[in-house]
Amino acid sequence: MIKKISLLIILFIMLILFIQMQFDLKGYLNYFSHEYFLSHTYKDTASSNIVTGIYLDYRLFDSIFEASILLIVVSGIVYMTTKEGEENERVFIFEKVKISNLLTILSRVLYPFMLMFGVYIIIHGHLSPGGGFQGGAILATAVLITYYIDPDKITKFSLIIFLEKLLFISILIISSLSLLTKNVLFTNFIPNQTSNTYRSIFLILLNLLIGIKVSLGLVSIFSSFLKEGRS
Amino acid sequence: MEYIPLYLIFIPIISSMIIYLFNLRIINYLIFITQATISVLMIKYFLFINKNPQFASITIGGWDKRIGIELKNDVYSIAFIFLTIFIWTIVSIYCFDKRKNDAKFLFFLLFLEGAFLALLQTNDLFNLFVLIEIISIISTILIIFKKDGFAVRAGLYYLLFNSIGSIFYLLGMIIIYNIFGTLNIDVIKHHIHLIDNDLIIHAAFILMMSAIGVKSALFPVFTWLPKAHGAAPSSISALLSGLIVKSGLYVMIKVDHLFNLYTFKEYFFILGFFSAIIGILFALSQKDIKQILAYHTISQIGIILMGLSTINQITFYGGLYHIINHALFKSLLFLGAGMIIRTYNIRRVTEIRGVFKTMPLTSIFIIVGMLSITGAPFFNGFISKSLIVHGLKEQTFIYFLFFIINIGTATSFIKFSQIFFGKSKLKGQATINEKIALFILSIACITLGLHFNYFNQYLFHVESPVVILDLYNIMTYFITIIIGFILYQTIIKKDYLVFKKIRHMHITFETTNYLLVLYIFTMILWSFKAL
Repeated sequence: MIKKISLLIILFIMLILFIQMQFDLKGYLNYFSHEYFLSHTYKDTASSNIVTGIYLDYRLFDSIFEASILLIVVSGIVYMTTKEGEENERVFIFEKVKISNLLTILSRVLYPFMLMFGVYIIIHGHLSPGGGFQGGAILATAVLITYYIDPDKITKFSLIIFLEKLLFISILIISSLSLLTKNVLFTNFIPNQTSNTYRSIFLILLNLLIGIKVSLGLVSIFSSFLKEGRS
Repeated sequence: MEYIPLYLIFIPIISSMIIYLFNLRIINYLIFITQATISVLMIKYFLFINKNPQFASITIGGWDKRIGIELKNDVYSIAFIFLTIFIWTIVSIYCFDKRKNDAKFLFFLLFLEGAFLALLQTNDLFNLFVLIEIISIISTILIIFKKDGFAVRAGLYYLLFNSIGSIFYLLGMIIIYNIFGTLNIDVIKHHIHLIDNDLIIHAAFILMMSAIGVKSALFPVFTWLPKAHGAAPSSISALLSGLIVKSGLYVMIKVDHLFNLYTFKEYFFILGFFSAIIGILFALSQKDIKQILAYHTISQIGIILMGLSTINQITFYGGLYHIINHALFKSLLFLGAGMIIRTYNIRRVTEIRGVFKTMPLTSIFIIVGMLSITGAPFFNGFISKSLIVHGLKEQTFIYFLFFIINIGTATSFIKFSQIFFGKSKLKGQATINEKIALFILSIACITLGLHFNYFNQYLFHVESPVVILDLYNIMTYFITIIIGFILYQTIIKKDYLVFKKIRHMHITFETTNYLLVLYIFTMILWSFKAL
């Protein structure tokens, strides 16, 4: 009881200090990066979407590690959920649950639109809000909806993980191609003099690879949890 | 040449991918080729940097360094990179017999190395955050690797608690980004004295330090460490205790240099003392051989923190040097403990007997590690402890506190040494690889103890003017050992109720979080001193 009351008091004091700091902060705000990105991003990176410009060019190094977090998590979860010698005993959760016809038919209708929307978000990542990570998540839901249509559709599980690793290596290769053309690592490999239309090929390519990688990763996480279903 | 920092990061990562993709036994030997390549590259880079210091930092993508991400190497990071490559090589030699066919284990191990090398070199606050997260996640997977219930619980505890800590780091970083408009540590360091509002600076510092405190297992928030290090496979425990915990201290040195706040030096000194004492108290009460070593990690981190948070230069370098030394002898002890556990199949100190009969060579190596950790003359622990003590000699009270810590460590390892005596019918099952790994580590312990001046000059570019190997220090060590022996015989051996209580104390996750809040609150209270 003492613990809870003291915790409440401490948290209250911390909240007051935090709010006070927020008021103080207003006088000290620095808009350097803000203005820099607004004025330079399109010229520097050929991306109309500033966010894409930042994560695929200014801070590509970060994005590579962010993509690798998902890769690590996927391999970790797949490792955790597989148990040797019990492969046949495990039951798919969808074999136990009866899926209503309405859901199946609606999923069939939705499936192509979701796929198309996901690919659109990925490919238009440098023009409009969106990008590889977000589009990848949409693509993954589109692929996962096939579980409602036909539970046995996704079978080659190891192939998905294999492809994911391969895609990560190709992201690394494409982002380091600039070493050959510009002699710097991790930036757009197409020279700065070419028109912005051509330069955005790099952004589309990377967005596409990241999108596919993210969607494969999410599909494999979800599927490995489905396979874990209680037998 | 100037891109070697990036090659150091990505060579382990790409070879880890190759190992995972092929999943062949032959390909697994790639791990040694990788280690050899990056060691050669690092030596080349070290010589190159010494001649051309202007290439020590590169901005990735060729952008302005206020916008892009900068990698920067200084004396600390270079020393840490050498240490990292060394420890990883040792661990991969040690575990290769067992993990020859386990491509997944090697994948995580090598990927962790790449991420850790990136953490050491980055000069960007957000990049640091991403890498801390990756390191926590991979460490969790490696802790859970045995897949038994205890390991899974310890691993998830570790992951959850460290994620809570990282969120505070993110908050602090957002404040900093708002004030300075950049994430580059060097740029912020140049402008930080322009901000005259103490509240904002202190808030950012406290938020970042609370994350770092969790990461490096300081006094109130250390509870995840013994669980995680006890549950992990031995080779991983060595890695976690030797290096991964130090990532917190390394970030701490960086953040401390960034803010340059003198108000908190004393606070962290006191916190370091409490970590040391509490770690020893818990270690004295434990019976599990790995738990004892894990609690000693906490106490040694306390000693390092005491060294790092003083204004005295020699004491500071003593702390840095102790990080390196602790990595060497603690991994030696953990790897040795792993071999003992595998042979005996029990983990209780009171039941393991006759190790010296069954595994004479291994026992000699473990004794080297024990002598180092207690600070025996001619071993590396002695040097760094003496360097730390040197700056504190004038303050009698603090010197006395340090003496108590040393006695505690000695007592605990006298208790640990009971496993060597007695008889046993078991046969030792040490493989040649494991013996080689332990041999290299113990040689390193002795070499760093004898030729520390050379290393200090070469790595940190400092001369240590103190004469360390004098009669006074040697006498102090023997007195410490004698007092420790008496304490063990009279108090610890009897296993009083207090120690039983401490041993069976169960700290829930809820309490741990409460302690974290308390830890932050004490920092806030302390910061009122300056306001």
